[in-house]
Amino acid sequence: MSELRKLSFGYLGLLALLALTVGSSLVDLGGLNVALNLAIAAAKAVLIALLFMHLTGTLPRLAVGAAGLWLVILFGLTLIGR
Amino acid sequence: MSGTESVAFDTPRRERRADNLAMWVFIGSEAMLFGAIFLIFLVAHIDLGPAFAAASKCLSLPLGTVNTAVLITSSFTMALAHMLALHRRWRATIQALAATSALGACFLVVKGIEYGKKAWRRCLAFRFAIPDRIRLMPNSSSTSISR
Repeated sequence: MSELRKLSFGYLGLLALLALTVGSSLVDLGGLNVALNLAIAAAKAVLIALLFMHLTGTLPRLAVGAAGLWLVILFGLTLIGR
Repeated sequence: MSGTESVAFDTPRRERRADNLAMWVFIGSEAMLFGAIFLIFLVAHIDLGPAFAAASKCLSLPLGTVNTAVLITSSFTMALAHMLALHRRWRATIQALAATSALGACFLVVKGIEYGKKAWRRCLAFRFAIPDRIRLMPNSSSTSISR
């Protein structure tokens, strides 16, 4: 069944991203390490939301987008005042 | 998908979609809580860079990697359980849920080993020097209020 293939793809993708994280910890890229790890974390979140948690439909995506918007406000206003 | 009659909704399909939306709203509220915790971590990381760098030398790369793999695998078995439940394959569903629980227990055991090793090597938090600059900063919130 194609659903199983979807989940397996997500699982292998997450393991590959984990390997990338571990690999990046062994090389010193300066400030780029943090940026790379945040990008990998974002990619993992997208994989999990779409493949494991079936984030489909307009309303659920709107709810997640709203949460993201408030997080941007939380982080933005805190860090901008420093 | 459930055989029971819905009381609040006209159709089971509509109820399922409402359930789904409510679950995402709940996850969004969780993101608010954990977002604040991650923000505190980020600010501490920015302010206390050297202390974080020193403390990170106490972390075990193999144990951390294994535990992340355990977490990812448990996510996979949980998603598997959800898929199997939709197909009404209950025995396989229960097996997938049991695997998820076992992986959760495994995660806690590895965490226990990690913290045990850190306590043994006297590597737990608050043992790392905080620069004086932080204490002297006039608008540094907690310290200036508590003194």
